[in-house]
This record gives sequence, structure tokens and C-alpha cells, in this order.
Amino acid sequence: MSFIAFRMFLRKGGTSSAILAIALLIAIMASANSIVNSINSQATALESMVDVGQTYLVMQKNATSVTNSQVSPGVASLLENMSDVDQVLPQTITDVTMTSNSSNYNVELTTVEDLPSFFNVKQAQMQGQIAEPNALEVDIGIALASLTSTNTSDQVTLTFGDTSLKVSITGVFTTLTQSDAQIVAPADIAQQLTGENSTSFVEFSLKTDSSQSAVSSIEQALPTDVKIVKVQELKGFIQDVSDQTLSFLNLWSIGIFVVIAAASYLVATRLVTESTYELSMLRSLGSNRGLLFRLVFIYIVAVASLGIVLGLSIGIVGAQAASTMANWIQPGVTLAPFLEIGQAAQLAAFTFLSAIMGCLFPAFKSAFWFKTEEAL
Amino acid sequence: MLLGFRYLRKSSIFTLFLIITLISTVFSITAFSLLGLYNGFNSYLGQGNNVIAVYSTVGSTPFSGLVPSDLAENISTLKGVLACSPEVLAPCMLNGEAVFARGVILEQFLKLTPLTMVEGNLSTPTDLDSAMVGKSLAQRLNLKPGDQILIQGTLTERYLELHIDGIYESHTSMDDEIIIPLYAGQCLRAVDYGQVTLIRVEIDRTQITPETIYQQIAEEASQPSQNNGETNQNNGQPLAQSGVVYWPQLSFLLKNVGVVDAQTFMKDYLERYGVTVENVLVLSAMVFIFSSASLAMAITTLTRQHKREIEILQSLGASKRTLKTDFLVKTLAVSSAATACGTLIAMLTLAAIWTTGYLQVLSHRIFIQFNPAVILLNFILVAALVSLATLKPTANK
Repeated sequence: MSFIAFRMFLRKGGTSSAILAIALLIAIMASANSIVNSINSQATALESMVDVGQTYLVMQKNATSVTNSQVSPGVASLLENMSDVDQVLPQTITDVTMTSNSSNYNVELTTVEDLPSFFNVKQAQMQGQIAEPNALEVDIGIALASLTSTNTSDQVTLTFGDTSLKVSITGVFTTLTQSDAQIVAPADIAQQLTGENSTSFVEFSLKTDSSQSAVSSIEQALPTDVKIVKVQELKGFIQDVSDQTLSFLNLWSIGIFVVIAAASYLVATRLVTESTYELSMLRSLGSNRGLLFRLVFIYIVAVASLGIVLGLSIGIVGAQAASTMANWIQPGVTLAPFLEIGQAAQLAAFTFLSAIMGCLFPAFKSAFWFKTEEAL
Repeated sequence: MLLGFRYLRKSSIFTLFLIITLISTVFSITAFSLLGLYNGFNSYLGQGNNVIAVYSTVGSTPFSGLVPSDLAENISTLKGVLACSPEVLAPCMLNGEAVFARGVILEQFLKLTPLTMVEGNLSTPTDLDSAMVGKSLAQRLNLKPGDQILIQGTLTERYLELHIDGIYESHTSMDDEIIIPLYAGQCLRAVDYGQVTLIRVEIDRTQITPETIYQQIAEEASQPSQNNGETNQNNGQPLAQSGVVYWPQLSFLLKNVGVVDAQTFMKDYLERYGVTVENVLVLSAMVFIFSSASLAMAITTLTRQHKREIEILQSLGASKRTLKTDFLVKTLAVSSAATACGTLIAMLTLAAIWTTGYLQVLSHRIFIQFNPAVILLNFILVAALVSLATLKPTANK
């Protein structure tokens, strides 16, 4: 009896419009999601086109910056002995006061053990000479040199606390990095100024044939009080920007799901209103209240299922057609909207949930508050 | 002619009210946020009529083009130029979040975009390791003056360690950016000191026009480069006090450089991708139209629920026309109230979300603007659809 009754409900005039109403709502979300997917996939494709570097920093675990980081000098030795590691540059950053032409400037002093390797890695253009160790010589970045009007052969005073050191500038370099705004010197300069032999951080690069998993093994081999930070974070950037768009879309989708729940309520209400006679007949023929509830419930599930299939199709095809037309009108605009299976399943699941929530009250009303005598 | 009978049941009217409210809310949220996004990007480079942009015509986005930085030097000397700000926009990562850094010459930048410091101080032009953070970004990442920050590059293997001097507020999309020295921006953007993303110029239109500036650029383009396009430090003109290293002269093609009003610059880019005010409104209207089947169904259900009352009124002598008119007036009154309610809910929802900074596109918060045209369009669409659904022949069968 329930099958016949269900068929009877499905053949009602309002069924097609009910399916269409739900389908159109799903189509909005399907098309919006497919367009966003297309934009995000283009951004991801960009990531694979850009040659992302393999340089990393080893810093103190709880440090938020390289200046307030301090790592054990043994970290550099550990890295140098690893087969996947190419270049290792331990560096010490010290905030000092530079006095030049009677003017004081707060500057960062970077000291390294191997200055030629440092400038080689940074692909520096050097005017003058690389500073020699134990000779009170330093090199100065082009930005700082311009700011302080200093040049090669000039002498400047570096002060840290109560200790001052008069040094000669042997070279002005350009690296197109932040070092251009710093003084770079051999390690002994920092030792003489601070009296310490510490390392702020270690910069290292992987060999070109190394895989990304090498970083995990390196991290495991290092002391637990350090962390590895990737210098170039293109993947993270693209992921974050994509997430922002998806957050907006998810928020907007909540509104559409509420409309679906309301539409489902309407569909069920309309079914009960238009099927007063049929529901009364079923009750008279001995159907229990549970059957009436199930009939309305299954009807909504069937309408929602057909609406989902139709809506997803309309949404994806519509978005693809619209993007093709947009490309004809504006040749620069190239979009290839698509929907992932997981997303389609998620849309379907939330639609079912919304439709079921919406139909519960009318279905319950039809089963328990329906007055058979009045209807007949 | 209107009937005095109150034959529409409150519960049925409430359902109609609810549906229209929901549809209006979704429509308004779509339209307000998309228009906010559009207007936010349009005013990105400044809203004044006298601000023009010197930009690269070959860049596919406003962030990716490059123009020679030494153009700024020459433009700034022209009579009628009030401020000239070469700027570099660089995507980067800060504390695990995607942000945009803007490399500027601070004194020039401030002439075009005055900043209100809400915490800390303005950076000094001689401080090459300083940064100022927009209020919105500072709140999101919990940054404060005195903090040291590590900025990771996205386009190149470079990083910057800067200290925050202050938190600023500009009431524009720039509140989601970090202002850094020009050289630092060039470093993150992976360009040499001879290139910038764009040059913003404020002009006195009584003394100079954008065409004059373009002529100046054309003259420069026609002069052969002294170094065949290679960066030459010796040819540079030091501008140390501006925190700029030097202006290396680079040769360039005139067709690759454009001069337009700042707003037109962004508008052109958006139009290139089909984003216009009209298209945004059409897209929002499409959302409404796709939801309209539910609204039509609500009207039909309302009619069916009152079939008996309508038949009684007909038997008492009410004509079909009178009944239709009466029904329309009553549903229009309900739908107008529901539209107003839906719009209000959308406004409150968006205002609440905006304060949390949740809505972002390209790491810039969407500035919600409540456009009267959207509200009017919402009322028109609802009224048209309700009238159509009420007056269609099947509705009153």
C-alpha cells in the first residue's frame, strides 16, 4: 500500500516544480563552487610553474625572529655532515650603533665564518674587496652605504654596549636581500664586540636532487630546541588565499542551505495541503500514523535526490557554458569550472540534511494532527 | 477594490514571509559583499580625482606589472606634481598567513595616503629595518609595536627581519598590509632596484595633466639607455634620505607603460576579468532568480491553503479580478515587509562578520558598502515575482 501511495504522491502536479525549486538552489552553489575551484586550480598551477627554492633557516624553537634566536654552534656541524644538505651558513645578528661622519645609526651587524661563501650564496655584486678575518674589516650593504654616505676605504665605529671598535669598510655589496641594509663582517668582529661566540641561526640549502622528505629527516636529526623554517612559502600563500575564498563561499552557502530547508518545508506543506483526500483515505484503509509520516518523509527525500542530480548538472553545465561565453566576449578570461566528487557529495549531504530538517514539521503534522473526518 | 475579510491565515502568511526574508537575505549578502569587493579594489590606489597611476600595461594583475623606478625621479620634478610615490606590492607570508607588503618611500607615500597611527609611531625614513602594520592585520595576527617579525617571500627565496614601529589605520584596504621601505619591497618582489610595481602621482590639474606626464615618459623612452638595460649603479642618483638605494636607469618600451587615473587603473583591471558593477548586480539577480522557484511555490501553496476561503468569497459574489487584486495587495504588503527584514538581516550579518575580519579576498578584508541600488533592486525583484506568481492563471484556479 505504501508503494502505491508513494507513487500517487509523486504524480502530484507540484512535484516537478518542487524538484526544480530545489535543483535551482543547488545549481547556484554548484556553479559558484566550480568557478572557485577553477580559480584555485589556476593558482595551484602557478605554484608548479614557479621554481620554488630549497633554502631553509634553522632557528631556536620559541624564537619569533632571527634576531632573538640563538642556536648551538654544533647545529651547523651537524648539517654539514648530512648528505642532502648543500650550503650551510651559520650567522650571528647583533644590533650595533654605527658612527660615521659624526652621525649615529642603529644597524644590524651580520657576522659569518666564511664570508666568500656567504657572498657567493647571496650572488653579491661587490665594489671593493671582501673583508678579511682578524683585520678589523667589514663590508657594507648598498642601501646602508647610501643612507650613511659611506664608501670603501671609509672608517666607521661600531659600538655594542660599552665596547667600541673602529673598522674599515673594504667593500660595498649588492645582494637584493636584506643584507643590503646591513654590515657584514667576519665572525671575529662580533666576538670582539660582544665577547661571545654565539650563532643566531643557520641558513642551509638542500641539494637539487633532494626530495622534500629530506627536510623531515634533517629535522629529526637536529636538537629538539630548534625549528626549520622554509624561506620561500609560495605553497602556503596560495593555500591561504584559496582558503579565504572558500571561507566566503561556505558562509554564503549556509544562507542557501537555509533556503533549501524552507523550500523543503513548503514542498511538504503543499503536499499535505493538496493530498488531504488521499491521506484521509489511507487512514481510513488502516494506515497507521507512522506510515503517513514515512510517506511524506520519503517523498521529500525523493524530491531532494532528483533535485540534487538535476541541480548539480545545471550548475556545472551552466557555469561551463557561462565561462565559454565569457571567453568569447572577453578572450583573456579563461575558466574551466569543475566540481570534485567530494564537494558534490558534501553538497548532496548538506542538501539532504536541510531538506529533512525542513520537512520534519509538516510530516509530523500530517501524521499526528491530521483530522480524517474533516477531510472526508 | 479590496475585500475587508481577513481570510489569510497567520501561519501561512508567516511561511511566505520567511521564504521572502531568506531569499532577500541571500540576495543582499551576495550583492553587498560583491559590490564591497569591487569598490574596495577600485579605491585601492586612492579615491582622489587628482591621483594618477603610472603602471605597466603588460601586467596581468595590478600586482604583477613593473615600471622603471627612475620615472618617479623625473615625474617628481615636473611642475604641478604634488607627490610622487613609487611603490612595490609583494605577496609574502607572515606568521603563517598570506599578506601583502607594500614597499614605499614613506614621505612620498604619506602625501598620497595619510595614515592615522593608532599605536606606536611612524617609521623614520632612515630606519631600513622598520615596518608599519595596518590595524586590521595587526589585530588578526596579534602584532604590536616593538615586535620583531620574520617575513617569508613567496616569489623568491628571500626573507626579511623587521621590527614594527607602529600600527596605522587608513580606512582602506591598506589596513590589511604591511608598509615597508622600498628596497625591502623590491627584495620581496624579486626585482632589482630599478623597478617598481607602479608609481602613484598626485597632480594639480590646473598645472599639469596625465597626458603631459605621458609625454615626459615618452621623451625618456626615446632616449637610448646608457647601459643597454643593465642595472648600473654608477648611473644612479642617490636618494638616501628617502630610504632608496639609487635609481638605476633601465631602457623600456613606451607601449609597456600607461598613465591613467588611479581609479580607472583598477577599474580597467577588473573589467579585463569581466567584473563590473552591472555584472555584479546581474550575478546577484541571478541568485535571486534561481531562488525564485521557491518563492513562486510559496505563493502557490498560500493560494492552495486558502482554496476553500477563496471559493466561499467567490460564492458570495467576489469576482476573480477582485480576488486577485485583493490577494496581490495583501501578499505585496507581506513581501515588502519581508524584503525589508531580509535586507536588515543581511546588513547586520555582514556588519557582524566584518568586525571579525572573516571575509577576505586576496588577504584584504572586504569593505561592505550598503548600496541603495541593491536595496531598490531587491524590492523591485520581489514585487515583480510576487505579482507574476499571484496573477498567473494557475495560481487562482
